[in-house]
Amino acid sequence: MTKVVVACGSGVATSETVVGKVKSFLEDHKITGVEVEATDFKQLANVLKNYDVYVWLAKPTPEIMDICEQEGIYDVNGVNVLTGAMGGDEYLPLVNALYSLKNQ
Amino acid sequence: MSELSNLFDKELILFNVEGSTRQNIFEQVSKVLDSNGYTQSTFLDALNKREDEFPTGVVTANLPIALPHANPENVKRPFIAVVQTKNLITVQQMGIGDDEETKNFFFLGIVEETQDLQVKLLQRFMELMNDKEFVNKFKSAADKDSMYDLFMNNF
Repeated sequence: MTKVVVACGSGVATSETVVGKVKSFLEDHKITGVEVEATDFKQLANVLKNYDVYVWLAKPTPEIMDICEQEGIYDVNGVNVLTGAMGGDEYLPLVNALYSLKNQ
Repeated sequence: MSELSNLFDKELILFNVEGSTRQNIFEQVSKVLDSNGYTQSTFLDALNKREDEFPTGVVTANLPIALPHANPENVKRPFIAVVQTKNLITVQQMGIGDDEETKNFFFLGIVEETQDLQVKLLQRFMELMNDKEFVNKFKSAADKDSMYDLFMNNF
């Protein structure tokens, strides 16, 4: 199971919205075996190492970036997913990350 | 109309809000929210603090906007306030922190009990921001009634 975490300031509005959009995208494209969860930024440093992909809606701190680097966690721009303004291309970094993880 | 449309309130549609800073706009909107019984007395401070820490400016396909919100404990009942300012206001963009200038603010009042509903609202809202026809109608709506009707017809 590949695990994706979406993090925003409080974990109540934008992160949940992006979780919903990512889940719909995965369903629409029949991509299975991916779990998507939301968290708030305060929890993130503690839980991040349990995930494979980190979708960010708030600027990652150096501490968060260090964890990503050490644990080999892929980071993906979630703001583009929220706006959906790229006509679908906003999901490409996520798809690339999932593809790379599958082939590891 | 759907259950989402209940989150809108004509009293929370504001045009031509004057001011030159984000703090100034937040203060005026907070007063309206407070006098309509939507928020706790802690709301304004919480709103500013959260925006400082986690900015909510978003440059959508057709319109730069901001989605200010505070943590649920500062909100009494859920709402969305549709606010247009007279002047361009500088905010920072969500995620990247770059400056953005906008006149379009959508204040989200989130409470835990109706979180699912509000997530649906935000999804629908972002969808509409990519709809050029909707955005054009949004830009040309000149009074509370037409703005309210526009949202009622699309939610």
